[in-house]
Amino acid sequence: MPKLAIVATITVCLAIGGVVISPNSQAELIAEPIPSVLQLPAAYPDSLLFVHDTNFDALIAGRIVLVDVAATTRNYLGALDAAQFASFVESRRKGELYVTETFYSRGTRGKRTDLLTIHDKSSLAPIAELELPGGKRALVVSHRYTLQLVDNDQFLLVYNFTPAASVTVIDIDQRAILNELPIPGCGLIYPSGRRGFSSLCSNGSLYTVQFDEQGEPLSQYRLPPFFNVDEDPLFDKPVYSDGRAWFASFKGGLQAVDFSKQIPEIGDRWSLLSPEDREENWRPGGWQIATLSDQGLLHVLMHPQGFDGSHKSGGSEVWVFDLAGRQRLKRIRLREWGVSIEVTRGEEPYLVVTNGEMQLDIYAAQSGNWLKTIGGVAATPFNLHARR
Amino acid sequence: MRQNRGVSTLKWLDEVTMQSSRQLTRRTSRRHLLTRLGILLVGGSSLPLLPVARATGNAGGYPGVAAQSTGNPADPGDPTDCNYWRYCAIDGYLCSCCGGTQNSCPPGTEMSPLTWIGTCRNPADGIHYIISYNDCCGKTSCGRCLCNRNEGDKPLYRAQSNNDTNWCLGTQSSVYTCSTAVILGVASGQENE
Repeated sequence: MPKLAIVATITVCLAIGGVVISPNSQAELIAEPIPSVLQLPAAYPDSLLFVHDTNFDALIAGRIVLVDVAATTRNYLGALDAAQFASFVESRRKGELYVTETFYSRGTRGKRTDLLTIHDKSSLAPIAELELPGGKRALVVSHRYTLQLVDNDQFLLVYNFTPAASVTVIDIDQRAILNELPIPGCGLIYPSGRRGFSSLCSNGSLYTVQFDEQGEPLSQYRLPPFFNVDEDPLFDKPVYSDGRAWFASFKGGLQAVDFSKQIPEIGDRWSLLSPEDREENWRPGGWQIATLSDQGLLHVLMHPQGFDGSHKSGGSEVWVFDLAGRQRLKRIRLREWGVSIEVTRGEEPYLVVTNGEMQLDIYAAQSGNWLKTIGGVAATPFNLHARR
Repeated sequence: MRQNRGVSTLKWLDEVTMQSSRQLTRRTSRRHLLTRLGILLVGGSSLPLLPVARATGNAGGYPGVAAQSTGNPADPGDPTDCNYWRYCAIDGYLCSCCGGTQNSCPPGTEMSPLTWIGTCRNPADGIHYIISYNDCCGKTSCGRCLCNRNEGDKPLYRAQSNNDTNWCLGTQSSVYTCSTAVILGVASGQENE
């Protein structure tokens, strides 16, 4: 028998027996199991980022994409659905991720259903739903202060806008809606006090509600106006640290507010700009315009030659400030024009910038050096959530 | 289409950078520079998104979109161009590019009765008009002629002057399709130029 025929015969026999052995020294690939679905580790890395894709070209199919910006490969870890101007927040206390979203029974028409959808952090599968009655959930361009957790993450607060503004209080442990608290003339949810929230108001004032474990209001305060909404409004996206918040203003101010007490205290206001900066009319701008690192460094997306209406124009630089010393430490000149920024958690944070191409530019936050670009993650990654 | 436009975007952004440098050096009009910057940024950008895309439309509007006219010299400009005067605080897909017009919704959609308000100057008569940016609702996103300008736009806590809100409120469906810019009247307290 020719040598080749002998080899072929042996191979066929082995294959019939269910095992294929290569005639070559290199083993062939083994059969793989079906089905096969991955899970994520229960503990996420500090470098994980939740990228909210509002998906403007198909708003009913938004997503939250989980991206590990430190990984050298497989950055895209998985995604959650987040339908129609959804809101998102990660639980610190539970292995859960919360999405509030809106569906219609026929896709774009039919009966409206607003849902809180609770996803498991490992499987990324929905594990519970809670229907939000009344079709009230605020539908706005993705915004983290439309959905917030307070009191050790037990109570989830949902911003409603019909255009009457209110906040729905949900007990996450009981999976129960407790109450709906009106916030007339005000908007958004800023965690405040032990178990409460504040909302900024259209006249520049601040409205604060503390509530009990049943969601009933314990106290309500309206602080008088402390900024001029017409002349120099505060951006509605502050940064937070230990119950204190800092709001940048359209013209480059920075307003501190202490939300750690039952009644918020309006803190100092100072300028992010030097006289030279003012000469060039630098201003904050973009969608997510500011972020705070675990090292206490404020990062602000800035553009020169600002004007009335440039507050969403994005920026060419990220400026880094020491909040305690009120000093600018660094100017990071971006590789590409930026529209949103976020700094990841941990001792070696990454600065992530959504660029004009809707890609994610990754910088080492401490050095400001560009490291890489992660593309194709989302159609419109305007909101970037670091781990909480 | 997005990818094709994306290539151009980089080139445009390069131009933006260069032009910014040059013009800053020459100390020319800031506003002029920024207008150009905005046009270039968004006109060439693949930014499918509203909040950050500023004025759009390189001269003549969006690629592949035929120009339109109101037919009225007192209402000048191209309603498919983001720089059309009424769009000074608009945020969304221009209904003029989506089967509607600057003041009408596309067939089969529903115009929202609630809206946000802007004040825009008509270059033909120098008069500031109150513009109502009624959204058209009930079909999926048009996806054509995205335009975002923010003159007088305020944050979400002043909702009536905010264009980040989906104003498909009070309609059968809150699904957003496109945006119009309807003249409500002459703004009070204005100064004619």
